[in-house]
Amino acid sequence: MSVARSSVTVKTPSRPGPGQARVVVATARVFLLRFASNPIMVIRGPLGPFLVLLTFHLAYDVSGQEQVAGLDATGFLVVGMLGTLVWSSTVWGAGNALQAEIYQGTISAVVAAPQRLSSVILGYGVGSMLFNLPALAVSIVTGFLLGADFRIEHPAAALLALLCLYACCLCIGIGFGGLFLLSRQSNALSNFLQGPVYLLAGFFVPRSALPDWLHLVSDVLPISHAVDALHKTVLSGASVGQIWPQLGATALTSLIFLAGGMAGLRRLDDVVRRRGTLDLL
Amino acid sequence: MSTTTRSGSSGSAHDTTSDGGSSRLGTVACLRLVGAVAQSAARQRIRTSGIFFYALVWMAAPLFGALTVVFIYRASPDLRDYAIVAGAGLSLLFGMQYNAGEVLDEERRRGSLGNLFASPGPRYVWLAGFQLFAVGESLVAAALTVGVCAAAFGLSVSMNVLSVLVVIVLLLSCMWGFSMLVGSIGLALRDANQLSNLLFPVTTLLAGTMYPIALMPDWIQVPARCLPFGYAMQALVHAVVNDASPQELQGELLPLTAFAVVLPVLGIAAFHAVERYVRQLGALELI
Repeated sequence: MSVARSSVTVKTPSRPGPGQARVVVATARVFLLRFASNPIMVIRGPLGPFLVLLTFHLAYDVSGQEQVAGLDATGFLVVGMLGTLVWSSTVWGAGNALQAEIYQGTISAVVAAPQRLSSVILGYGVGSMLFNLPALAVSIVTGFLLGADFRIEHPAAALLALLCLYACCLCIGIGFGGLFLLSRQSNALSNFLQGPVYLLAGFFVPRSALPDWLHLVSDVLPISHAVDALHKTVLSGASVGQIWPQLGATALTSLIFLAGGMAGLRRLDDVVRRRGTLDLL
Repeated sequence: MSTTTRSGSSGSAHDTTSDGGSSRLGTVACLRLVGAVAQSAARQRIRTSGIFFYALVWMAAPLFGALTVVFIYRASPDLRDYAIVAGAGLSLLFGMQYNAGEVLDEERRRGSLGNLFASPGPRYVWLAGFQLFAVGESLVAAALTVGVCAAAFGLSVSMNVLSVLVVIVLLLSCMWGFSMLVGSIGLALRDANQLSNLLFPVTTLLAGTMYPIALMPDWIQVPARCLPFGYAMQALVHAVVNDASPQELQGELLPLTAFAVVLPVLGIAAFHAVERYVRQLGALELI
């Protein structure tokens, strides 16, 4: 059988605006319902961060380190745990979004429907982040119980840094969405991208401890700068004015991921329609 | 092979047990079957992901986990050496718990679990084949983890080879039993992956892969002493770093030996119980 290759690309009419927002909300809702129906996930959500935090707290405790890069060690770990949760949402929620649709056999409907793929990915990311909110609360409470010394003198700055952390991860998620799908190894990439980023972004070890060349690699990641900003506002009482360099670096690197991701998704949409390989992905 | 059918009308269960072929297969044939299953599992894994992505998933996670801990201890040579050697334990724990624990669940997802149970080979033989693959993979990951960490941070090695071999054999026996126990529960819950995700932080906290159990607070030492991993990690570190002989490691090797006997028995019993349970439910192949 010969397959004729058409040069005509069918353009999907996109409807930016409230319609896209509804897609994000609906996708997030479906994500939450799916996860909430799994008892192990419901238990694991808040239990995991508690155990991980306790484990790393003990590691610093047995080595007699009460300060990490001039910051309270337990507080440093709590911020790192927040970063871990958001990053986990990025790779397993947003990054893995289209692969999840393939796994469920619904990718054709998602691509053919008149909405942007980025809205679906965003919905997965938001759903995953919402699902992790109890874990975030558990991390903060565990931090207090373990004696974390938080010094938030400018709550607005801390909130802004936290929002930047979430926003930059959504941008990375969109950046990864098409890449993961095109690699056909979304699960493998999601698994892989945890350990290295935990190290590079300074979640459990300060970035200042990394060799220079690794420090440079970590500068490419928006999440590294967002976590730096969160460290400063939550543990050193920094104001918005004092974290502008970190916020600026977060915004710049996030935009690169976002632009690359949007271009990649458009290309993906174009390629799968032209080649008719949607169900083979 | 043992099959159980439940009568719907009376509600009583009756067993029709048949020999699954174990008496018909000799030792050589069983060993060949073990090797064939291990080879098949390896091929399946590599074909599914490709060597690059396969290595990314199964080698990178324990490596970066161990590197993170070693970075934390960068200023404490003793703890750093401990973390590097215990990184091997972390790799074994990761590999055996995720791989060996989930292999049956993977078969179920692929729809081939029923065929495995219906095959004429004894089930513990093909199960041993899967475990052999998991052991091989975990040992490679362990060697890689220790090698990379030692190259990056340095490691004072004064190894007693006999002690290292004894510890690894006992540890693998413990892990084999433990992973079969976890795998059985995962099979019953039909979600071995999430169960592994749930249990891994618990075992990491209590296994002594990040710090010696003796340095933990008392309230954590109690549950940690109820697991074999802390004894194994301590013995492994002493054997690799301090040239400790088996006699000098008695305090760790005795409880480890007890676990190495008891855990496989518990694992087999759990597997048998779960098999009967899912057969009664008729749920072996259901997703």
